[in-house]
Amino acid sequence: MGAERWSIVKLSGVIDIRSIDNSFMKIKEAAGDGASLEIDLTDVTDIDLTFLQLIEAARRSAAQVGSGIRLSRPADEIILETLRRGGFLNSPEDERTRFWLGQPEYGA
Amino acid sequence: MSADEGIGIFRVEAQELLEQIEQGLLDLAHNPGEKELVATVFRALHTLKGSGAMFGFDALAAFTHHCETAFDRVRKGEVPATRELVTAVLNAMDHMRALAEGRAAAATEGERLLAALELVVGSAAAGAGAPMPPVPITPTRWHLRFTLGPDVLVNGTRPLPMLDELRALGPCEIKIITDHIPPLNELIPTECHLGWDVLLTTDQPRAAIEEVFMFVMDDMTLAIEALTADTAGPAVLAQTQVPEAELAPGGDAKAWRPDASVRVPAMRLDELMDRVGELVIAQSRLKQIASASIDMNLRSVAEEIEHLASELRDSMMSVRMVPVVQLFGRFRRLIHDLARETGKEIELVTEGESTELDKTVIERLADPLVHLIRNAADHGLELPQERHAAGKPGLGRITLSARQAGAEVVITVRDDGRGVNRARVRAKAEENGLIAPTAVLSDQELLQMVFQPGFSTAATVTNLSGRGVGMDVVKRTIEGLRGTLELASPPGEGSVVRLRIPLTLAIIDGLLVRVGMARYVIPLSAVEECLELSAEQDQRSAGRSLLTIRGQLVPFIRLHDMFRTGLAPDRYQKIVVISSGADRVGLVVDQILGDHQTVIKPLSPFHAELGAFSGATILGDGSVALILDVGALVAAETHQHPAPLRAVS
Repeated sequence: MGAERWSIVKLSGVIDIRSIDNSFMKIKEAAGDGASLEIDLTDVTDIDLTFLQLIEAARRSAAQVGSGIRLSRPADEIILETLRRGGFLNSPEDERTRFWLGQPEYGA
Repeated sequence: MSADEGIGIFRVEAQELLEQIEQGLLDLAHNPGEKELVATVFRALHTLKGSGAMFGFDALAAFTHHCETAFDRVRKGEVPATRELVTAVLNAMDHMRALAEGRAAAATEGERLLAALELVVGSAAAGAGAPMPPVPITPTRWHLRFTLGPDVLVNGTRPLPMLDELRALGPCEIKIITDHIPPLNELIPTECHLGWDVLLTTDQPRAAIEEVFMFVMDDMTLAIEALTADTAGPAVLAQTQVPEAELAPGGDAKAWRPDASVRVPAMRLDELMDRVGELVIAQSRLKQIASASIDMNLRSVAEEIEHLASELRDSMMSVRMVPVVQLFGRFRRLIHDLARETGKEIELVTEGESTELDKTVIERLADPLVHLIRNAADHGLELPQERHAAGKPGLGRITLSARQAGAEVVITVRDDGRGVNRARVRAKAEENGLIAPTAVLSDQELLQMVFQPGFSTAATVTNLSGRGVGMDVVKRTIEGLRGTLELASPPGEGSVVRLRIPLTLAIIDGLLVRVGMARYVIPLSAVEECLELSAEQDQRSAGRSLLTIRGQLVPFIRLHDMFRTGLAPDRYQKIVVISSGADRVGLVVDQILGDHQTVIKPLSPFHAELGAFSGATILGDGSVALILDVGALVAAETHQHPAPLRAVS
C-alpha cells in the first residue's frame, strides 16, 4: 500500500451538485498517479449526496489499486448529519463508518 | 454544463411545470374533487420549488413553497379545492412566472398574493368542517428497496428529504446501497448511482409510502414488500437484498427507463434547419450541373443525393413540427380570466389539438390568436341575461379548432355570440373615411373593413379589446406567415375567423417560373392548375384581365406588365391558376420551369416593404429567384383595377 506517498486534497465551502465538478477534478487529479489521498474537509461548510457518492467512488478506486484514502480529521457534525440522513452510517464496525470517523488505522 | 446553460434549462423546465400547474388548476376548477389533479398540481409545485432552489432561484422557491403548502393541505383533505383557491393560485402563478423568467417582480406583490392565498385557504379550511376522527390502525412493517435513475439529482430530486419523509411515517432503518457507484475514473459526479434499503414500521397505508416517491416514480426502481410477523425482525434488512431481476416491472416494482425523448434547444433546431437549407441549395446546383453532363455516374449520384436531401428535409421538418395543443393549452387560462373580467360565462372547446405545425409558426400564432379570442369574448359573446333573452344558453362557447388541409393548417376561432353588427361596421368605416357613404359593398367586403388599421366598433374601450388595434395587426401577422385570414358571420350564428397557415416557414415546394429574364417561385400549395395562354387568346384579351376557365370567370394578372420587364412576352405564355383565400387568380408567365424545393431566405429590410414578394431563394446556378407573395399580389392588383373588364372566352 502506498502509505509513503499521500496527496492532500483540501476542499472548502459548500460541496453540492452545483459545485461537485470542482471537487471531483481535484480528487481525480490527486489520485491520478495512484497516490494515496488525504482529504481535508476542515473548511467544508455543507455537502449533499453527490459529495458522499464521490468519496465512495474514491474509496472504491483506492481499494482497487491498493492505495490509501483517509480524512485529515474526523468529519464534523454537519457532514455526519448528512451521512446519517442518507443511511451511510449503520454500524460503528463498518469500514465506511470508520473512514468518516477518521479511525487512524483506516487506509494507512 | 455552464451556469447559464443550467439556468436556461431550468427556465424551460419551469415553463413546462407552470403550464402543467395551470392546466391542472383549470381542470380542477371544473372537477374540484379530483384527487389526481390535486396530486398533479402539488407535484409540479414541489418540483418547481426544488429545481428553483437548486438553480439559485431562491425567491421563486420561497414563494412557490407557500403555494405548495396550500396544495399539500388540499392533498391531505384538510382544505377543499374551492374555485377561490384555484383562482388565488392561478394569480400567484403569474408572479412565479415572472420570477422564473427573471423579470422584475415586486416583493410587495408577492406578499399581497400570498396574503390573499392564505385568506382563501383559511376560509376554505373553516368551511371544510371538523376532520374525521382517526381510525386506529395496526402498524405494518415494510421492506423497501429502491434505486434512483442517473438523472434524478440533475433534475432537482433531493433524496435526503425523501428519506426524511419515510422517517416521518414511522420508525425506520435506512441503509445506503453503494454497489452501483463506479470507480473514480468512470464516475460522472452529477449522476446518481445510489440506492437504499429501508425497514419501516408504520400505521400508514401503502399509498402513503408510495406517495413519498411520487415525484421520481418514473425514474427509479422501487420494491415495496409487507413483512409478515415471521420475517419482520431487524435481521431482515441485511438478508433481503432484492436481486435486480426482482426489480423488474410488474408487481410492486417500477422500472427506471431511459427517456424516450431528448430535449434540444430550439436554437439548435434552427441551426440544423439552416444547414439543411444550404444542403438543398447545393443539391439544386449539383442537379443542374449533372443534368448538363453526359457522365452517367455523376447523374446517378446527383439523383441519389437529391433523394436523400429530400428525405432529410422531410425528416427535419417533422422534427420541427409540434402539436397545436401546446398553443391551444395556453388559452384556457385566458378564457378563465376573460370570463371573470367580463362577467360572461365562457366555455372553450378545442378540436384537432394533435394537428402539427412548425414550431416557429406556433410561436408566432400565439399573439394573433389571443387577439381573436379576446375579440370573440368581448365583442362576440353576450352577457348571460342577453343570451337567455335571445333564447340561447347562458354559457357562451368559443371553439378553437385546427385541421390540416394539404400543405396548410386551417385554424378556426368560432363563437356563438351575436355576430358582426354590419350596420355598425359600415357606420364606422364611413366615419373613418374608409368608404364613401354611397359605396356599394358586398357582405364580404364590408366584413373585411374590420381588418383596417384603427378600426374598432367597440362602444367602450375595455381592458380586452376595442382600442382600435388588433385585427389589422392580426391580419399583418398572419400574412407575414404567408397565411390568409377570412372572417364570416352568418346572421344569428356568431362569428368565424379562419386562418390558413402554411405548415412551415423554412422550406417549401415551389413552382419555378420565368417572366422576362427573371425567375420567380410560386408556392406550390397555392397552385391549382397551369394552362396555356395562346397567342390568339392573348390578343383577344389585350387590356383585359378576365378569362373563362370551364365556364368560370377568373381574373388574371400579367406579371410581365406588373414587373415592367421591358421585353416582349413569349409567344406561348402560360397561366398559373392560384387560389388566394376564397379567390382564384391566374398569373401569366412566360415559361413554367418546373417544381423547385425552395429554401426561403428573408428579404433585406430595404426590400421587405416591396409587398409582392415574401422572400427569396437561391437557385442551383447561384442566382436569386424572388418568391411571389400570392395574397399581396392579388390584393395589389385588385386595388389597382377594381372593376374587371370583360372576359376572354
